[in-house]
Amino acid sequence: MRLIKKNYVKSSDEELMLLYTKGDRKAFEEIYKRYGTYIYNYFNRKLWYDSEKSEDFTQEIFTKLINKPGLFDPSKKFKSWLFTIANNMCKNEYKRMEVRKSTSYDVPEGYEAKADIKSAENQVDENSFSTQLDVELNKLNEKHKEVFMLRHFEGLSLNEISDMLEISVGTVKSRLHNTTKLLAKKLNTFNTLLAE
Amino acid sequence: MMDAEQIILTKEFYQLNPSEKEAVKAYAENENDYNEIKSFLLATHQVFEAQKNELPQSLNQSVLAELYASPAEKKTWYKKLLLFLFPLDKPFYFAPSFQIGMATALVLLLFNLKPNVESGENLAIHTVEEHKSVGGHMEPEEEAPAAEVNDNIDALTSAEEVADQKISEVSEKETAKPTTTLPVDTKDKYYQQPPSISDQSLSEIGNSEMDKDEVTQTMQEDMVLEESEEIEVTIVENQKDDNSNNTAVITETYGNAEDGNKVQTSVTSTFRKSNNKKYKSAQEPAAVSEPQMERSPQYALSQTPELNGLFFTVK
Repeated sequence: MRLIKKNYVKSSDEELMLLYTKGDRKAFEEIYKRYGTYIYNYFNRKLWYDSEKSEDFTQEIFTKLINKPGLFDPSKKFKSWLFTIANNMCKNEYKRMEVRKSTSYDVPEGYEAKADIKSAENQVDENSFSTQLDVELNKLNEKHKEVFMLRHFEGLSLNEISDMLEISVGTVKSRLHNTTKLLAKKLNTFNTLLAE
Repeated sequence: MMDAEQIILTKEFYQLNPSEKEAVKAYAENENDYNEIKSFLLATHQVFEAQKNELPQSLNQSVLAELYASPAEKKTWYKKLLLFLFPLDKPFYFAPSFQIGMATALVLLLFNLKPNVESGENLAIHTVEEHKSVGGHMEPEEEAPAAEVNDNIDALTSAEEVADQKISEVSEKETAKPTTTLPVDTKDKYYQQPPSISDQSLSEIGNSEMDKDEVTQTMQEDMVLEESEEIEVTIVENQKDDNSNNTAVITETYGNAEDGNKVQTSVTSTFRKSNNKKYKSAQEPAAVSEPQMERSPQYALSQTPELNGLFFTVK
């Protein structure tokens, strides 16, 4: 009988996974609380804002974790490993759908995609900051855009991005600086309006 | 230590210490650039936060249901195997164990029902071998030709006795000795002939169809074949020698394997005939009990009118 209740909130992701591997289901529940929303939004963004598909993919990835917790390598960071799996699932989906090159997000290097996917809200206010941000983001190189989104949308650290994309931290910093400065310069008008 | 983006988002330019200014130098070197980047990042974060969605409740329920439905402890491989072979939620005939067992039984049944071609071939070979081995001891089959030979010899003998007046010259000249014409009542008794032919006798052959060399060769072959143990008799033919009415001559054909070559040699043997009409080899000595005819020179040649006219002159 457990006399002292474990504080799962203060435990790291790796510790929680270790606990779940030993049979502690509450530990996995804590992991799901931490990353459920992140992963769902990541899938939602990468899969053309298809909520049903995002749900299916989110359930699939967590089901894999539930049934095969041994797949996780404790020597790696759980967050980076989880997003790597999610990224690979998206790539497989692109291959399956054979529409990878036509997506607004995952386009080949050097190709500046057009902002042809617009939500109803964006169509109403095309001059809004979010719309222009989407447009400018879609004009970016895919690698630069991916680093920028992982850093500011998913909230991953430089090291986590480096692990996930298997590139050096210096490369991540370089891509991030260039993208941020470029977008800030292009969206400076909106920043002025926002400041006012 | 905070990243450059975190410093920009959390602090104002005038709050930066030298190390933080060095960290954000890649983004902004002056306060205007710094503020511009800060405004952009704040606005971007607001947009991204607005774009984020909450987890659907159905998704939460399904994931948690999956979590608490599945056993956390690992299943051992044999438990998985047993569960696969004997599923609880399927009828027995859908169970893989039942299907595998039935398939195995079917295969074994088919193999057992299939006629064994190889064993059939072996049986045929065995039959042949058995026939060979038994054949050596089957006297009736071997003796049957001999009986026929005896009959043939008898027939030939009687036929020659009828035409006894025509005696072969060769036979008489080979012996070079007068032979005795058998009486009628003792015509079935034959006597051993001399085993060799002298040069003198051969010189008397005269117009014989067989010259000296041929006769000598025939005799040498006889001797060789008698002494050799490796001779294998393949064909036996029996003939009545028409050169003499007193003897039965059987010609035997031998197959001799020498140096891998099959050599067939025909050998003529002379037999004498006893009262019981069984022939013995001419080279074997006659039994004591056998009556021997005295050889008389007056019977050296059968006197026929033709021969008398050719070879004899009336003094």
